[in-house]
Amino acid sequence: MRKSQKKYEEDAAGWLAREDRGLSESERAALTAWLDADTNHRVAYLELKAVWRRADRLRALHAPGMRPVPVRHIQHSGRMIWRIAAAFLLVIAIGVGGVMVWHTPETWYTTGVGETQSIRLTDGTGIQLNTDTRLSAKENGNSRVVKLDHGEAYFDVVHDASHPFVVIAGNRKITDVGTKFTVRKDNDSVDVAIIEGSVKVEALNGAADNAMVYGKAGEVVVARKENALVTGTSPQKIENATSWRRGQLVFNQETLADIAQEFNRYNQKQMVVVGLARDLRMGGTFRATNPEAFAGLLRKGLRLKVEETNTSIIISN
Amino acid sequence: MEKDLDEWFMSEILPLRPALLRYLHLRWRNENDVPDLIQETLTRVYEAARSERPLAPRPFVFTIARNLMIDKVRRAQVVAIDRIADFEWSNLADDMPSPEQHTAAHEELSLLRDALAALPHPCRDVVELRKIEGLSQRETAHHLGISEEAVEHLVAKGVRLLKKAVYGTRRPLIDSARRYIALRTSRP
Repeated sequence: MRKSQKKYEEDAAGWLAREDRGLSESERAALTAWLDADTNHRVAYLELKAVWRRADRLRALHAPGMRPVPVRHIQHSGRMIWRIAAAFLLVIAIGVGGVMVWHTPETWYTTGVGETQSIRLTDGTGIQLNTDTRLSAKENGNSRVVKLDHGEAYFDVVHDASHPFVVIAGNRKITDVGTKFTVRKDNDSVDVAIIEGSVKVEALNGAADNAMVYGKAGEVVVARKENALVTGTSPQKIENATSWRRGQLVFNQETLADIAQEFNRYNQKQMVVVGLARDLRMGGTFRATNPEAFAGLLRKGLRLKVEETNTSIIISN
Repeated sequence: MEKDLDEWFMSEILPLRPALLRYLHLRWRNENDVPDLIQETLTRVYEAARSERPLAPRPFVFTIARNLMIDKVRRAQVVAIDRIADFEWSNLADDMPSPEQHTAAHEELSLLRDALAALPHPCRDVVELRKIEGLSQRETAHHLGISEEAVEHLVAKGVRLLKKAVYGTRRPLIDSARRYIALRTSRP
């Protein structure tokens, strides 16, 4: 764009933003004068005004009830964050306008690879979604229900005995008893790490008694299919497992193969470890969305061979 | 009076922008000139419409665009030979792009959602709160814990970025169009 065109657009945008805020009489007069002064001004202004008006249509994405609030965004890479109102959303076009029909106020949240999103529900409960996660939040009669479709989330629940807070992940139902905990679901395993308070983890269809367990602060409930195991762990380990909330991954004597697998959850560029290098054990704290930096350290510090393509990082010895 | 013209311009002329962009990209060799050509075309359209509003906006806009290109070529002191080679004069009169389909509401929503998702963060939060949640600029400032001036600045930035995202450059279409032209002109 030529310099003058850029200036027209900048000025027009400034005016549009002012108008969006609300103009005083004298400001309105100044705008009219500016528009009349040069047709280029007017065209630039009308183009932006048309776009801003079209954006009104975004109102269709408004979710009544549980209002999501962009509190803090810790890390970004590649794809952005989607807020999707799923199958419940019907947009019926009537001529120029659109009409919204809601079936249920269930709202879905999704993060892309390498993204996190923080939301705060109207009851004050905070939820932080980790990489590649999809969950929904809904008020269902007396309970507050979150469905974790896949991925991992941290919950900071405002306790309310009359409205139990429940997370459904795979075939497990996790009932909060006033707390902070994370739930991670990959394929058919569900891990619940409890940071504060306690939770009850049971089978969804409530059948087998052996599948109901209570976990308290400092414990991790590991559930696979019908089995659930409570493992005690140190506060440090829980800290490490939730370091993703600060955009970091912490490893302690883990194999390079496992480390690469964890990195791959957070990045489009996938790390592949080949041969004997897979069994190398190491530890450290790394930025989740910077696999290139980690690979760089391997190359310099451990003299491993690192090859990079558009889609992968291949590590070998 | 002017207000009616503005409304007409926004609802009848601006939607032709994507078609105009394609038209110019096909016929004007230098890509860098195209954004200015669009602006000049639109400006001329507005001024011409002031004296007499055309019944059919499409041919009006494309005729003005064609005349603008002819003016530019005429005025240039030294005309690059390749500029002429691509400029198939005889085709100008007949080769109109196909009519724009009326965009269905859900496609429009999809387009806007993509545009919104492409905004960088402080900007996006402001646009979301203004457009999705319907908060005023003042409420938005309060909600995000930033000044009202900052919100105003982010609205200005946001609308410019939305415009860029919504109009885009449609590269795949242009590249295939160029290949088509290259194919046509290379035949014996």
